[in-house]
Amino acid sequence: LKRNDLNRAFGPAPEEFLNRVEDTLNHLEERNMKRRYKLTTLVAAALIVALLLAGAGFAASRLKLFDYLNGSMPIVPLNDAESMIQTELGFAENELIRVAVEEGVYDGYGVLLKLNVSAVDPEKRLGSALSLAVGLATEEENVLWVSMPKAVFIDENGASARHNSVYNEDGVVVSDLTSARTAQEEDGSMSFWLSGNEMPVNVEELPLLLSVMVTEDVNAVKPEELSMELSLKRAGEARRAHLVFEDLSPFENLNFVSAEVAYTDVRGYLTLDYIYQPNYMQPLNLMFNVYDADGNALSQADGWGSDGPEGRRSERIEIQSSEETPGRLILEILDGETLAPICRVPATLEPVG
Amino acid sequence: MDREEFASRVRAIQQQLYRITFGLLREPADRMDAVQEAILKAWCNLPRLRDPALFETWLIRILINECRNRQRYQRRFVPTDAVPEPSAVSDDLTELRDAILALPENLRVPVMLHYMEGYKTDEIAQMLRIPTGTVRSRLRRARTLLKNLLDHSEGRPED
Repeated sequence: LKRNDLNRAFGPAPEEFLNRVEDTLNHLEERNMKRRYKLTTLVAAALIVALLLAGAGFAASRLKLFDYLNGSMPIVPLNDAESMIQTELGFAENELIRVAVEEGVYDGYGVLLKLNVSAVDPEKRLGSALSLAVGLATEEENVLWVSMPKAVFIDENGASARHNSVYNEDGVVVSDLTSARTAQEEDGSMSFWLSGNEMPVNVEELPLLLSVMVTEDVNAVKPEELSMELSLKRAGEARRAHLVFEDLSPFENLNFVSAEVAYTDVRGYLTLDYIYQPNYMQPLNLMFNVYDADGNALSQADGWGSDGPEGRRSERIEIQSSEETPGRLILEILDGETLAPICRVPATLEPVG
Repeated sequence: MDREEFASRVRAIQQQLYRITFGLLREPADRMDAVQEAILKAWCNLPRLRDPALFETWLIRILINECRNRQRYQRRFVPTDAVPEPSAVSDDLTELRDAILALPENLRVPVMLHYMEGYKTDEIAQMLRIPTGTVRSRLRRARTLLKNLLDHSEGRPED
């Protein structure tokens, strides 16, 4: 790979692009003014959102920890799941906000947390006078800011709605006030639901770092950070099973290394370990859906994945739990970009332990 | 760093900035918006840059984040069959470009930063906030995939 060839392959930047760079550089102060105006508009928009949410305050204030799971593909926890919830997990405050972690659960595979953030000054309503962001990470993560690709964070779809976001010094979105996982309470405080499943599996106690960023200054790019440590004890036992696929190479260049499902009373987790090296014109990446033997959907093309060497990838998908381990599941493979189904692969389940 | 130096250092890497946006965003208008936003963010946050020597790396990191934010917001990525754009480069180079753009993003960005822009693996690790070993393994994987893509392309019957 020769650098000159590579650079020539992309051609020189077009005139229009260079003109935009030049124009930006020539009007930095002016643009700054516009930017401030834009950010002011942004916070005004956030205020509208806050007021709209406040209008739905009654409904919002009744939400509980498991309401996080009421997404577009609802997961209904089993009857015993309520008893796994831990309460009053921690409290922290600075001169601007108070943070209380009200409820949480760690079932050995995933974490759900509900926290409440309120303004110290009752005149200030969060989301209008104060802008804030919340992030959470496992102990191993160096939490300097809420970073979207990290393990656990506010709702990603919402966070990417950049027009209602605050950025950190690296230009990373750190806050979003229109996330489906936030709600304004009647007293003006805000509740946040955090969820994640990319963490140590089945440890007895899971230490976590919670980071809340807050700012009064709408022009501040890096808000003040309030951090706290907390830990969740593992609750409940998972029922695990291996998936035995009828075809380990359901289509070209995809090979399953292992697949395991773990059912807890909160939700189910399907962990897939596979190798996929796409050829020209094959989908660049894959996603998966899970169906029961009758063809009912148990997940919705979502999950957390990590890349390994040589095309190896590990993916964990949250699915509806089950009191008893079913005998059979169907895995649907989709094009990761278009979400077009590629094929369905039946698997039988062999209980572990 | 004063405004003049800031502008001069941005101008010095504007071709790099263009190529990075090309690799990450499909629409020319998005590329221009992304680079403008990145320059403004860098300018606004200049006092926070501790080591001015790292300015270029820092600006590129901001630009990559800006491009990714736009991708997520718009829910679209560079598809393999949607890259062609009028260019004055030869067919061989077009194939090379298309092959690079056909790489998954997690491989494409390290390839562009390393082989095109000449950044070292530890600098790329800093920009992408991933371990240096991961950068190296992604580069290895990208080379293999690029070779496959180009071999396939060479062996393709002509239309």
